[in-house]
Amino acid sequence: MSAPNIILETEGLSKWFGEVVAVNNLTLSLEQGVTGLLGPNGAGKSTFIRLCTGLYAPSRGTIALFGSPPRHNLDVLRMIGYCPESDVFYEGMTGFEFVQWLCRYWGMSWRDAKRSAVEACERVGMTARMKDPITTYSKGMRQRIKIAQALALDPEFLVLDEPMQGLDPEGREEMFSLIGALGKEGRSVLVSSHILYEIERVTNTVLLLHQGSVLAHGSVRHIRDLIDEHPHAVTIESRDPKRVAAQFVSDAATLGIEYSNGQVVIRTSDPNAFYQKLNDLVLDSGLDIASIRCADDDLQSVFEYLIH
Amino acid sequence: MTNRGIKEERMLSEKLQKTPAPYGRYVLTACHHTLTILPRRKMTILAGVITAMPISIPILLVMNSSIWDPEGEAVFIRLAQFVYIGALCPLFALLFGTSLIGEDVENQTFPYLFTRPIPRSAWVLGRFLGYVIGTSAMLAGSMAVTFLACTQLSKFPLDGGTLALFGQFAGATLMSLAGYGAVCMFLGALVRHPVVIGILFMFLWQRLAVMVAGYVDFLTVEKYVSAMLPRREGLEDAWHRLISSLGVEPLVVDVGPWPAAFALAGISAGFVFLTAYVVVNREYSAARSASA
Repeated sequence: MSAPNIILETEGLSKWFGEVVAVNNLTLSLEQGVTGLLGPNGAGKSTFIRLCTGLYAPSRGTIALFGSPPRHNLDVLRMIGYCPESDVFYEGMTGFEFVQWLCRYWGMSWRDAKRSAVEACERVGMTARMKDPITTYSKGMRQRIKIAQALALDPEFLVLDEPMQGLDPEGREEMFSLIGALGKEGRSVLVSSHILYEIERVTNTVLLLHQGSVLAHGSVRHIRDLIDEHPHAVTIESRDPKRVAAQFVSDAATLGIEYSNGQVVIRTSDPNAFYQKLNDLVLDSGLDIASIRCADDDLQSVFEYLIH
Repeated sequence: MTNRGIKEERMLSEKLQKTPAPYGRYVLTACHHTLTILPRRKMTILAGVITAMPISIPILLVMNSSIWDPEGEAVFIRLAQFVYIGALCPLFALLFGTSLIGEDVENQTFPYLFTRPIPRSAWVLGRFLGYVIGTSAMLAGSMAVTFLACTQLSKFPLDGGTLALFGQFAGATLMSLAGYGAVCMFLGALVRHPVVIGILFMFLWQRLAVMVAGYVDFLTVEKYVSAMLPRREGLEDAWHRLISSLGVEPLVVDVGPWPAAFALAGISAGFVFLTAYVVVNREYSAARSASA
């Protein structure tokens, strides 16, 4: 029996296409709220989303959304709003018509579909342009209309596949606010992206996929804890990066050294000892260092650590 | 919006979510949607121009009737049989039937639909009905104008008899559109290049099958469409005449118009069912071949 706040559960979920394994033995549960789905291109994010939305059937294992398998389950699909990644629409339609037709396909009457379409367009800031043909829209506007068609259904579970793609900085800020507001309303949102900064802006709960498997799942804090089990990378800018590197090359804790454009990246398994030694070197031997940057300041570095 | 307003909206939304729409509404929505997007497609403009062309033939004949005055009935029957039913019905099925499902797959719009709580079979059925209504309207309109123009030629008065003839050809056109359309819709749902397969089926297989004596031509749509026509003149008869002239009596199994109509209805229903089966069970993806 699922816990009341768990909306999605998978058990040994796998999906393959011929010999290509897209999702590999996923066992996880997602709780209510906003969850970021992260991973590089080809990690299995879109396949996982298509399994969640019932577009794909699992090759092995099970997936349950609101306690039931989503594929061909109209009761479950009635609670889903899905914004696909692909930038496609029906030919010759206005944004309003597009949203309205998709509301009709949801089973709404014309009146309800019209009302829902108007409200959804308003919510994504497209009221002024909603009666214009989609072909005249910018990429950002098209993205908003795609999100509007998902929001128009007032779904309990909103799945956004790369929603920030193509949006300008202002549009991104609005999207961050919108997703945040949906989370505060108590809705569940699954947002996929391959840019960690975007996810970090909208949620503290992340699911990291890599090569179809779960790399990490939990809060950002939990993932940061995982870093301690992995080497840290420190980028040092210096006029003489080779001299800096020479000071650390013989250390047992040093796992790797890379040079590039006046800087050296040192990977260490013992960051505390590393920083102590670096301070001592600067003070004692006058090592010329312009800047020190820890690559662990954002989720990008966490992600890179985990996949390496 | 006030808190009360938000609460009412939410309650309405929850009510909507819990109340599934009847199956028929989904069918009608898909049908209506098809009829809405059909006229907006560039292909429809081309089809409209092609459909209007046969009208010009009886009009030109009427204008030059002082020089050459053919019988109106013969002109109408030839145009109906060879142009409308023989050429335009298969062409429309290729142009529109193959794209009924295939276009949503090729253009990647299917995720919008398949993540809606709509039975996929209702969507397929609605699409097919929309196609039959839309294409029938185009062809029947053109055929009616052609018929009226032919009544201005000699020996083809506008009376009950000629109207019945028009009705028979219009019925055959409708059934032809449905039969060919269902086959093409199925191809669009199943294969990557449905137009190529459709052309091979219509213009190679059907040509070959009708030339072979026996039951092979039962595996065509053309066999039943031809059987529905009040008068026939085509390759089949020419071939049979040639065989007969050699002193061999070929095995020709004729089908009456009503059994032919039922057969076409069965073919249409069968291929709509097969299409629904494919659409329900297949996993369409960005790379169409990935899910094959």
